[in-house]
Amino acid sequence: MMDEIYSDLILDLNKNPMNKKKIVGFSYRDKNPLCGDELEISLEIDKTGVVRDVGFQGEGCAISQAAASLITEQVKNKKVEEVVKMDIETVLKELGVPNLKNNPVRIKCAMLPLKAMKMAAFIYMAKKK
Amino acid sequence: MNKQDFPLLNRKLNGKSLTYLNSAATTQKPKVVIDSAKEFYEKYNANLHRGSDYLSNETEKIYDSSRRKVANFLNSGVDEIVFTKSCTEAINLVVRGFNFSKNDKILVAISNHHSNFVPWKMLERRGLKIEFINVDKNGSLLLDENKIKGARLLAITHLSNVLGNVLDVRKICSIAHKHNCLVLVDCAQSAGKIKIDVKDLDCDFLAFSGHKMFSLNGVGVLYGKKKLLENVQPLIYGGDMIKDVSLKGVSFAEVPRRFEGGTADVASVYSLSKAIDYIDKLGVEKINKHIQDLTGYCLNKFGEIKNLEVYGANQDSVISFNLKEIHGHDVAEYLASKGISVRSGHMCCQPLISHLGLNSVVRVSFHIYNDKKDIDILVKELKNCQGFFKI
Repeated sequence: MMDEIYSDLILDLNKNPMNKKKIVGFSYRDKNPLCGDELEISLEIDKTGVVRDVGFQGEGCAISQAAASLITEQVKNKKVEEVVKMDIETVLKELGVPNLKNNPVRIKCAMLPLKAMKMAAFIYMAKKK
Repeated sequence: MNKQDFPLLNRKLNGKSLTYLNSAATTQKPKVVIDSAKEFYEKYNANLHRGSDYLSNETEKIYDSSRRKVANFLNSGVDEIVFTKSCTEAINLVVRGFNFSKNDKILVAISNHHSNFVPWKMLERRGLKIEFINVDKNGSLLLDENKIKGARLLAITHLSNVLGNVLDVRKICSIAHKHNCLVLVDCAQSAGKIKIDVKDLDCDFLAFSGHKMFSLNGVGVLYGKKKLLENVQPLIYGGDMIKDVSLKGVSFAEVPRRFEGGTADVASVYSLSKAIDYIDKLGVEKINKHIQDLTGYCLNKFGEIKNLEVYGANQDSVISFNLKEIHGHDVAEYLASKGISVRSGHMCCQPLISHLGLNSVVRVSFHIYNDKKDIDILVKELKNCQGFFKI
């Protein structure tokens, strides 16, 4: 039961997060209304629409913190068009918890950073137009 | 104590016995209460006030005697008891139905549950002034008499669902009344655990829900002093709450029936009366003593756990805490995998949680069916949880 929710990668990323820092860029702060956890993701995007740096801030459970670390690491040097196409199933697979998609409560924890990151990318795209 | 009266507590979760430590969210139900729903639907079921047949008469008798039982439970008048579907609805009835005026000042304790906070906050839209009363880190109300001056009502919580402290309602009412300020008390956490006597407390409105004191979901209670209830407008218009209806207009039924429009949930109301019987049989004082003993035992045991921080200092049945460096949801998830039910998050008390400088907490809460063994299991698994998360 526990290993369907907490992989070794999640436990490691929770203890040693990546990209947990404040940067100036296109930001979006989202909140999980169920638990009140808040997370902000900021993207620094260059003139060609490529993510050059990324940071996240906020407190949350191991799943949301690990998902934030993983996806922020993955979007570096990607084009924003690719960022908005990232899907939750791939994120869960890479976190080592594919079955979390069947957990209606805790999947929201993994969705929180992904939603915030996509929103930050959408804000950039809207401003560019 | 009394675990055998609660069928659900025999349930196994993933092969493990259930350790239920989440009674502040809802209590489990004794068999006598569960049986009362079956009894009602197999013997009495009729639509209240809508017939003169045998079943209708019996249903009415059940409903009326349940109201008398609740009145007796609170030491109030029978017509001072309004049945609602929840404690939240009971509070909303006062917030939205009482004759408040634009520019009235309302005082709201920041330790209140969202159900006793959000409805008041919404009154700002009607031009009322909502001001907040702070609490210290242990949940004691920092009442400033200057602030009470000119206020219409003060909304407080008897037993905090986060810090577990009990307010001195009688004293607070006496201070508020000196300045003609009414007091509404949310007793969702205290009803059934602490003796409540509305005449002794002298509160003006009081609300609680049945499901946190062993009844079925779907029934709450608003107590209001009779003369004040006369100044409350009903929120639900329709069948059953009228005296007379014509093309020219409508007149309402007497208090409290005017507040109970629509088909009544008589089975839930009946289950509340059975829950009160169950509590009376055990004795509220005895229940309180049992819960207090468990709370003290748990706090003592928590002292054995490194990196565990308890919030508050005067807990009664409710203890909130965090394990350092492990988020509350992760603690709750770990405990769930061991068959232990607790609550984690902001406890529907975001203003208080942020006032305490927190993001979330883990909460355990006890009732009559818990014993020291439950706490020993909890303590063992909290230690294991720290190992799992490599803290």
